[in-house]
Amino acid sequence: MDRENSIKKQSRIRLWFQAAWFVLTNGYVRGYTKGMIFNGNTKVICLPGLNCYSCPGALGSCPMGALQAVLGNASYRVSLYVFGMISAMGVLFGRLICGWMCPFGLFQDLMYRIKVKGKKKNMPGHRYLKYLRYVILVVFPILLVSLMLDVTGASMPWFCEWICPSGMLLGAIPLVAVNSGLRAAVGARFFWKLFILLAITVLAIFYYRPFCKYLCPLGAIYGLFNPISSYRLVIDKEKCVSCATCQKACGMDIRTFETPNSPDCIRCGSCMAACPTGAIESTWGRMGQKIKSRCFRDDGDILPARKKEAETTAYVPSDEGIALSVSRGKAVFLGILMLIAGTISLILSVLMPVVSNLSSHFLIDIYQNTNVASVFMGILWCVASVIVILTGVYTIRFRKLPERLTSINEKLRAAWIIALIGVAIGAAGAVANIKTLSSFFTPMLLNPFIYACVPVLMLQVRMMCRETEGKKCSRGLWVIMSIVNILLALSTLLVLIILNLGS
Amino acid sequence: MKIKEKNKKWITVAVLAVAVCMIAAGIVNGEANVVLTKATSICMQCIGLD
Repeated sequence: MDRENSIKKQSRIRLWFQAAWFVLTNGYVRGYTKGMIFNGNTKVICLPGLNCYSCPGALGSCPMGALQAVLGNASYRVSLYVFGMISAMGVLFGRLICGWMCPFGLFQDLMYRIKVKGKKKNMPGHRYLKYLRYVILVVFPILLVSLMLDVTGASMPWFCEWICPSGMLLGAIPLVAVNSGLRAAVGARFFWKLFILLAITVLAIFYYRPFCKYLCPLGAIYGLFNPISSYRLVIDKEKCVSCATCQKACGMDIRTFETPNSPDCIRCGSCMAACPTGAIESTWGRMGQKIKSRCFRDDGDILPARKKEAETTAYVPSDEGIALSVSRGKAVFLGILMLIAGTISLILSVLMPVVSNLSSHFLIDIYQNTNVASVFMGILWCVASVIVILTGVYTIRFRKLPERLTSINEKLRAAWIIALIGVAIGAAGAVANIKTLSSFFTPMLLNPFIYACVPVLMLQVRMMCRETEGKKCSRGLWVIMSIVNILLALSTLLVLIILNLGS
Repeated sequence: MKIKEKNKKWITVAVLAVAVCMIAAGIVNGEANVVLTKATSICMQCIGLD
């Protein structure tokens, strides 16, 4: 019973995540009400799933549509940009995208929830039908688009034009329902695609995700990355008893205990929830446990009896010649600085753009002049901010051991490198598109902490390392660096005040 | 061919690096503009209209 509840809970979490992702990436509300599509610069970025860019709410483009757009353009025969984006998403997530981020996958999941008799996982002929998606991948979006050219050397998006049901569901029906001009253009192709959509909808009620299993070319590509993607399933051979409970729970009918990273696996997590011995884990789950234990739990390197002593007094190890203590106050001070500055940086990197994005759906069109490079810069600064925040927590729980200090410096160095890469990308984008210089320059002014203050923090941590090695450090220098760090940590607020005073 | 778990990490990093280079090359090549132009106008073929 517990396992059943666990599977249901996992399914519910996934459904809510899919819905939230859909709202986030297709939230241009005005498109639905006016029968138009969003035309901001964010549409240069491919959304991970099969998300038609003619969906009125879509804020990004569809990878399949984008691929065919470039391949079908007379000037290009290969699409490095789109293949690069698909590869990057594939190697990071694999078919996790299918299970958690695809709107058409969500639609099929909802259809399968309808209670009818005669439900099965697979269609008849599943053993061979599952290779059909590779045939569709090669024939429709690649071969036909590349070879069937018109007199100008351009081609049509064959997969989108003749097969893709996502375009009908997300694009055609909402647009045609509201836009009378488009309604007048309805013809035979519209009804052909409607028939395909209805057929898949009916099949999805009786069989689990038939489009994903048998027809989706994007899933075919992502599936190839499953064995090497950053998110992978790992089987603990010692715990696994080969009971095949995972296969029974798996909607894609995969023998997970034998092939945990099968190209058919959509990483829904049902097998992990169902496994009676907890033998199935994900690589991200393992990483999360590691971060949790390093930042939030005691690492057990101090015996309980000594723990209270270590917290209240300066701890001196009993062996001779080993490190002297460092006051706990210094560690807490630096940790709090990291927390403050990392949080401010995170708010600037993430929350402000997200809030303005959400409000723009109701007020104004934004992103007309967004420098896409600055979006990537913001994403990397967000990652760096999170690392700094977690390092701050880790530092506060510091237990006066030199190895921990080295580890703190490693984490800060990683955050700094990530932030500098972000600066480089933003600068490249500003140089490439000088009109959008302000979208690079303004964040640089408001967010100096991440790339300017982190090295100073690292210097102070280094001073603490030297103290633990028995070398004395100048108190005056520590005070000066602390003041510099406080100013840098609060620099964003200071800049905002100065800018407001100036205006 | 079974790939060792520890080698998979490096393969992931290598493929990601190649993908980033492909994206950059595609942007320089002007492909991003093609994608943006297509995505910001209603794709009549995609929605089944003539």
